[in-house]
Amino acid sequence: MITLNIDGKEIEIEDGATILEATEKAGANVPTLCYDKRLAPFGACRICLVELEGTRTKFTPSCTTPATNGMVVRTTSPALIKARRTILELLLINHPLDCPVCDKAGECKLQDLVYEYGLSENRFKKDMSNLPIDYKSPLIERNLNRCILCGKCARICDEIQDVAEVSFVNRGMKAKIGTDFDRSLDCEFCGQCIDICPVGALTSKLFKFKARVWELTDKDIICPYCNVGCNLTARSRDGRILKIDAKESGVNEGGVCVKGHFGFDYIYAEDRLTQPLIKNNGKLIPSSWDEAFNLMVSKFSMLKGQVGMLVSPRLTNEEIYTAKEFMNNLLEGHIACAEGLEHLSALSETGLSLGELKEIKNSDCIMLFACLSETNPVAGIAINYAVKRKEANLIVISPIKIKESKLAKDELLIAPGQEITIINEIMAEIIRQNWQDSAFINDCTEGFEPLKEQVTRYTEEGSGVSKEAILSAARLYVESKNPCIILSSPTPDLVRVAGSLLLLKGKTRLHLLGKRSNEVGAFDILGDRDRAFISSARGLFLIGSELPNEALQNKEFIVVSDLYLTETASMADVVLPATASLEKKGTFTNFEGRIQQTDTASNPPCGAKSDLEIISQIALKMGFELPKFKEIEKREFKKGNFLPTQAKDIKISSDYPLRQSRFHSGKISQRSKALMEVSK
Amino acid sequence: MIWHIKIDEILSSYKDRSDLIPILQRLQEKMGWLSTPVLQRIEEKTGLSGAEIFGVATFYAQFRFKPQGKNLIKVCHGTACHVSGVEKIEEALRQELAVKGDEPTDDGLFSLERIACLGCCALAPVIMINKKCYGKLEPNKIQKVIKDYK
Repeated sequence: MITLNIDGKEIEIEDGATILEATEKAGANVPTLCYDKRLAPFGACRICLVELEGTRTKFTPSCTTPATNGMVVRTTSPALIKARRTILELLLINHPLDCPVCDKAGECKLQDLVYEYGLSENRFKKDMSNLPIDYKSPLIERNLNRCILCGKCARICDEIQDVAEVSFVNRGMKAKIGTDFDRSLDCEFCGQCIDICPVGALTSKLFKFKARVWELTDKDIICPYCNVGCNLTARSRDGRILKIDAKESGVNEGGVCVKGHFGFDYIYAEDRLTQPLIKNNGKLIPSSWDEAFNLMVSKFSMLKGQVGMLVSPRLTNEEIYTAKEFMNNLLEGHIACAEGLEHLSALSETGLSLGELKEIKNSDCIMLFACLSETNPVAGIAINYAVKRKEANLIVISPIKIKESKLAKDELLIAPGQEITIINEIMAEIIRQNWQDSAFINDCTEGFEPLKEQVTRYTEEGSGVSKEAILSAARLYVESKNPCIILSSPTPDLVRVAGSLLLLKGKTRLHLLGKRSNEVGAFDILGDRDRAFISSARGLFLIGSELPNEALQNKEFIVVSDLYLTETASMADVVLPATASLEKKGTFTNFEGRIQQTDTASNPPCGAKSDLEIISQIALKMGFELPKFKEIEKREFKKGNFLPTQAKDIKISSDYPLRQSRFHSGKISQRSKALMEVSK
Repeated sequence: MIWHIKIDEILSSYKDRSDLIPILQRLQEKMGWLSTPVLQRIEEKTGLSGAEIFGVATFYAQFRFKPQGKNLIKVCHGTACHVSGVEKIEEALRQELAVKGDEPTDDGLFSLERIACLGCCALAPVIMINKKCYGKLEPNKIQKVIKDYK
């Protein structure tokens, strides 16, 4: 700890902190333009100058200067204000004051500073640069004339997202932010550069000329896509979301991907359902809610005990819980999640608990089995951080080269579908070298002997990776302090072997990412239930879920509640218009098991009801009030189980290895025009 | 492709980002200028992004992004040459070869570049064609000098 004096206040701060961090702690207001706490200090804009007593130069940029013991700092003085005014004047030489047509106006850092420092005219005159505006790039508009060259976009693209799509090009007066040969952007379109741009040089095309920022209502939401559960701010006017920004607090710490940032327009798709439909003579006829409810009540009472329900893992915890109570108490039928949750039940078999995102950031050895830039990009950011900032070792195990490969210390290119084999081979190597944590295994686990017997049989190179490579990966893994293993939507067997690998090292958390926002919540409430009841059930109630047409044949009564008229919905007897997760309140459980609150950000289409309302209203019609959702306790590690698992014969389809794409092509992402634009 | 093999030979010496500038220099020596496919190949082989490579290359005046004539004529615009009337020499050169700006001639034989100082001020006004210097020039001597390269 060091002590320094800021504006007469004694401040204690840890070694290595910058003066700017100390001034923040002191509560002083030092302006910044090029500084962001997620990025390495850069010192481009010089607006954060402070006065240092006893130094020859006197003025020093606070964001790049480390604080030292006994420093005496002044954050404001007439001379400083004059210096900052000059810096602003110099910036304004090349910054057009087109604030009335700029989408950033109102939350522009430069605008705020010019206002604060009261600059009304500029001593320096020069012709403004007149660079062409990039209208061609999808989703992001780049107006380089407004750019103040703080370099934040280039740095976040490189340091955080590890894409480096833009960079400083040219030199001196001609310097600008650009791509190679001035082509239009072709990146991951996470749009973090838009969020971080202090001026209006980078703006969202979806928001262009839609509203002034001060007209927007901000609501805290949870991203409706994957189960990293990013905390976002949905900004709407008149009940319609116009733009989504990442929130700096929360799991994602300001991180966001293209789906969360731009993919919200699926709720405004033209084919959204707006009123209940009832099948009459083979045709779905619009009807009222009352008619639909009455029909459902009479049919459900008739089919009591023989109705099955499937719920989507994108529903809120409250909805899934209510649905479960509804089925248990009223219809006495089976309920299950529409998507398989076998990987989560495999995790509970191993006794491990769910890993957290911040553990990835602080890990020193990461074993990665999936390309996260495709499925869970914000978790990928954590890997970039660990590797680039904290010098963690990354081991990539994949049949194809993935984005993360270039960061990898070890890259094991396995034969397609041999993930389980390679983990078994790594475990065999660890056990052969006697590197395992025997004390932990004796005290806290069961089943080590059968595992040992099974894996040490692995001698051949079944995974297609050489012995030396496996040994080197095993050594990296064993020699690390906080290793983590990252899987995304894996098979249950892969979870079992990965769990064993963690237990060998005495670790108890597995990072298990999923594609759907509330998979973990659905598992906590429903567990992994067998879906065999579908074939024998006489009636079906499908919430946000789809089934192949064969499964819908010979059913007496099918109710579908969904956002769109899907193929399954068109086979139903009653179709109910539901609301999307951006249109309702509730909680989602993210991949860490963290329960997070989401808010109503957009008005649902007139006539749609949330699934919670739908189920509670039917229940009320049937004369029953459903209990309220209670939070479920987090699972903690108690005892680990080694589960010896062998790779099964895998049939590789002809289109394997799968082409890398930016998005999973689900029901909702396909309806987002923004996502479709960039996935071409 | 043949040019791929040539480039890959040079790129094989890449270890980390500090090797980028020497590699760009050698590539330009071999290819005459840095084209989009060449930069793309560097991107593929080194893992650096296109924008980063372009950013480094555009920072230095020595790298060219437009095709260059077979013979590069460097016209010195140092103080001594300026005083001895290099502007007239350049004008005569441009007229003789019909070159505009930094574009190469139509037959692809020559391109012209303005240089700050060649360092042989005693010979002013001076030009350099490829690696040979021609000093004490006068506008009417230009035709003779160029003739050797046609």
